[in-house]
Amino acid sequence: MPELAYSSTRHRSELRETTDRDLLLAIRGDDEIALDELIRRKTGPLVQLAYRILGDLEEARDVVQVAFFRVWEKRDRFDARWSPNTWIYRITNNLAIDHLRSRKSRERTTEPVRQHLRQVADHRSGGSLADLRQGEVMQIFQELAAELTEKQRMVFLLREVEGLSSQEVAEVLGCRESTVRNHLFNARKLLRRELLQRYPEYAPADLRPAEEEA
Amino acid sequence: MTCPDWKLLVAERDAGGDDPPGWSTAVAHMDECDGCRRTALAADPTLVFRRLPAVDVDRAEVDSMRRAVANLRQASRVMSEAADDAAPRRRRRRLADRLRHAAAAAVLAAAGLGLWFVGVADDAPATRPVEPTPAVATAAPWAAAGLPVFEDLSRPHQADVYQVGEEDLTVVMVVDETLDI
Repeated sequence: MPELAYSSTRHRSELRETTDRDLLLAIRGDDEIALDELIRRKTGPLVQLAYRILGDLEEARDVVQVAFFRVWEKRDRFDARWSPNTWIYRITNNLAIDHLRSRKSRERTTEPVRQHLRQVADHRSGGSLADLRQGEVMQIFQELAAELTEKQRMVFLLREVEGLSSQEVAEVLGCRESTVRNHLFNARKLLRRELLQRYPEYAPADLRPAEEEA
Repeated sequence: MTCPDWKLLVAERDAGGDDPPGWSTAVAHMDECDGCRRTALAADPTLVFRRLPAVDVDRAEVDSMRRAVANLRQASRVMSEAADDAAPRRRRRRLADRLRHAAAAAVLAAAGLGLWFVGVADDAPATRPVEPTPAVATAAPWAAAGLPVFEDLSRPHQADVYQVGEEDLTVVMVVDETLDI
């Protein structure tokens, strides 16, 4: 009876069980099915990350396509000692930042967004951050994040929103943990200040300006 | 779980930079407890950004991503092969260009040498106080140019001007045998 020498279906199902690190090692060995499996696993988290950085889903998808392509092109550079997630996040993050820079010149004004949100706040009782819809939170974040430096924005997103540890964020951004903490502190401070200045209607009662209370 | 003291937690977090003990439990509780969420957001409004929308990625999108990445790889392969094919053609073209330039340089050098020789032949008698003879004058290269255009250009020099040429190129030679260069 002939012995099965190779089956792509079997190989595909084997790869489903393997770790991210082993997957990247297989990709380093020119395994295209391993790349397919990586795309299956990471499309969701990476599109989400890119979307949160860019605020545009189509652009986020484009960035992630290129990120996977880069992973393939640079596969021989992956070192098994690295965390696979941080390596892929790093590639995506850098591409998203490049995209953001190229887009800055054609950035639209955020004034209409603010007016819309103000109207929403007027229609709701009291205007509370807790009542905001996710889409509205995204709009506010995109507006305020424009005031952050690239590093501050990335640290805030990776640490506060994506839930990476300080060490992982440091690996993604190629800096020290103390730098991550410093960026995070400044990002939070700046976001709080801008949020209260631009959207005083969402501020807690004890922090609202006097005329707002009157 | 009882609602935590958010003011205290946020203050500890701001002071230390990292999450204080019990932070992750408190945040998980905040996601479920409406009152707690309002207190937490009052203590730190940036906590609202934890609710940035998640992106739902279905199987169709993953398949579309796979195809897009495969297309990018295919395009890259085609470009790289085209670049490999074009390389020998570029080398051949560069070599032909170099040969053409070398040939043009050789022709120019020969022409320059010829002109220089004419100049030397012209100047040589002038370095010595020798009277030109009719025989020398007829043997001189510019004799082919025919009769001088201007004779006795200026005294005391004995300068003659010769003109050789067709429509495209006209060479004017000023010959003064008395000059010592």
